[in-house]
Amino acid sequence: MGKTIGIDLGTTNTCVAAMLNGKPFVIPSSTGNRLIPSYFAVTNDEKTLVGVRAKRQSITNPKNTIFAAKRLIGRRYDTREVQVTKEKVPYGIVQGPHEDARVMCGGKSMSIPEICAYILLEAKNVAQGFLEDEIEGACITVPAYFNENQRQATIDAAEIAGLKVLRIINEPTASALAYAQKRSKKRELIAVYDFGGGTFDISILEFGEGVYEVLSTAGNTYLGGEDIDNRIINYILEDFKKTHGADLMQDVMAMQRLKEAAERAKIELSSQTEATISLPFLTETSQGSVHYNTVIMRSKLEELMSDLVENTIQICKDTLGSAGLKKTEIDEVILVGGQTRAPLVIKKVNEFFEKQPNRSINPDEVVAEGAAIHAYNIVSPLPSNILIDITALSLGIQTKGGMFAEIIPRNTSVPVTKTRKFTTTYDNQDAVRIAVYQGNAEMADDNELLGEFVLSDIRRAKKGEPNIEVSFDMNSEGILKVTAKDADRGTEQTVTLEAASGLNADEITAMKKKMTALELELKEQ
Amino acid sequence: MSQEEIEKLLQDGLSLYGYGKIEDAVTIWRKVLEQDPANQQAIDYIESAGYSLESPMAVAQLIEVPKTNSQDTEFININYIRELLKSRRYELAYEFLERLSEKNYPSNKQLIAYLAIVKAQLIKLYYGELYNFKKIPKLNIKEQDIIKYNLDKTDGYIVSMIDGYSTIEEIFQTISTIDRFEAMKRFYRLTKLGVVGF
Repeated sequence: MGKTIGIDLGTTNTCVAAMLNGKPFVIPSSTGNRLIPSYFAVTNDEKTLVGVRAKRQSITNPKNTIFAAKRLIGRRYDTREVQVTKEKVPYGIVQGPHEDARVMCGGKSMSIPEICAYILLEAKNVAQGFLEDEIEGACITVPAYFNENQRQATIDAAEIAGLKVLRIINEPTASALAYAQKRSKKRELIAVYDFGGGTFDISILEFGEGVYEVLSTAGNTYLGGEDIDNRIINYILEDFKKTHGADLMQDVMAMQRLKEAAERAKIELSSQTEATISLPFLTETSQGSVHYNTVIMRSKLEELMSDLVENTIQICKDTLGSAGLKKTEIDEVILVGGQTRAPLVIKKVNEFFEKQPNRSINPDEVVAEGAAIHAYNIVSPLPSNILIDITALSLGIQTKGGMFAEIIPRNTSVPVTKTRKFTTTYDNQDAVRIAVYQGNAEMADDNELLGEFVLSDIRRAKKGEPNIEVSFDMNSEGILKVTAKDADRGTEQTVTLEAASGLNADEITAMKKKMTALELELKEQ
Repeated sequence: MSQEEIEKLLQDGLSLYGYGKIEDAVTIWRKVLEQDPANQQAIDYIESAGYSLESPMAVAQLIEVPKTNSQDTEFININYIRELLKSRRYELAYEFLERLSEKNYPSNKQLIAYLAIVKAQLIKLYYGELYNFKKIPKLNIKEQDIIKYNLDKTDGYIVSMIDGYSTIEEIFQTISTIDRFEAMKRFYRLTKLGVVGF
């Protein structure tokens, strides 16, 4: 029997873990790194780079380095999120043949699942190399607010990478699972404060007796540790200008080194009160080579990042409010994501929740560990923990005037079945269009269209008379079955909505073949 | 001193230079200048040898590149290149040829052919000296001492990519925006300076 693994496919970093001797264990790469940067690049000489090497040339080769692909996965090109990302990243984003968002890299258009597959393949290879065994299957984590298309696209990415997906689970749920390993089994309300490299999420979970339920989740997909790095970079750029009278912005080699130095300094300042930045031969001016040296105090970093941390606290406040909870009801606060190592973050979280956050688990690794535990539970003959997930986004249909009529509200535990009654909008109407959307906006078009069908042969009557029942049935795998029934005649129409990842089966097969060939090629080298 | 004797002295100097007897070579070339103070070839050799003790990169900048297109000058240049090749001073030959082919004789097929030969020789040299790019390089000096060396920002960038686990080949891929040959050349020079080791 092969091994199972858990993968935290993050916006900025990916982490892979497995169960060893009954305990979750994060697998280091051959270079000793426990995190794989979620970066993919094609070099000038058409070589593909994944992980740390792709990241280390991201500024000198910006148009061919793809990062934060997670923000694009499973999204249609014309969505707001894609258009916002397009404004913020240096690489090109184009419309794919299935209206999906794709990226331009090495002069070619590439699908997002394909990009993510390269990162998952790297994670798989790291695990396979360390465990010296085939990987039987993986649990992959996604943010709790991911819709069905985004989840399906993640599954497609794994398939391209030759990984069998045992389950897609929500990141806060995975954190809670890892946390539960080190806790008593009493019933508790947990807040998972996840401040990662590119995103911030807060989730409230209830768990105990082996049952885990996400009660509420919210976040900001454009708020993370990289924003803090950018604040440090801007601070250095200004300081450099003052000291040397030169602007480094156009010097890509200098900017690449600056980015790495800023990230290093930020990490150092989590454990020390000052960090030294030393960059010899950083650039050249009319005076010759310039060496840059400076010391950044923790107090300066905290000044630079304080508003970003305040934003996260505001989101926590709103989330508790929407869940109808008081902060005093929270039993434990778990910190997830590298940014939560910052003393200022710990202090602010402590002040807000009025309790010391739990720091017993490595915040960079907790999600992957939880995923590894779950993967192991699925295949092991032992009784497994029960996971109860929620719908992070509302599900409903479009009604008159383009309005969105919610049938399953957000934060509802799954599996769930909900029914709502509708009627016709004009006399003798004998058919209705059922367009199923997922999202939290009032207008249906502002949400994600999951699918549509027509219920025909309705009893002809005056408008408002026919009774049409629309039922949504979502199982624990997130598969949604929609039934529309003419209650007067008993005729009904049912569809099972399969999420659209932006790739069809042929494309997935072709990409999988390409990836397998690449894997063989790498093995031969 | 006849022209033939001058030619012989220049060649003897090159042979000594090729064996690493730099001072002896310079002494011979100075004899040429005593007889013929305007002998550009001897001047070039002396300057080249002098700078090569400190920094081979600076050598090329001091070579006087002929500005006319006359057949005579071209003939002299070709002879000079042949001498450099004979004495296996490929780096110097490359710098010289590159300047000639870019500025003075961009379409001269003979120069382009020489350039290709020299480049091939250099690549062979770099592969040999840098362990086929398969070894993991490390910083051979204290970090704070790096500013004592005559480097530039591209060298600084390359050195910053040495992470203790990437091989030279992997570093080349990470710095692919720098021409590969240029990257090899710089890496080789960094090892010769003792900044980078294995």
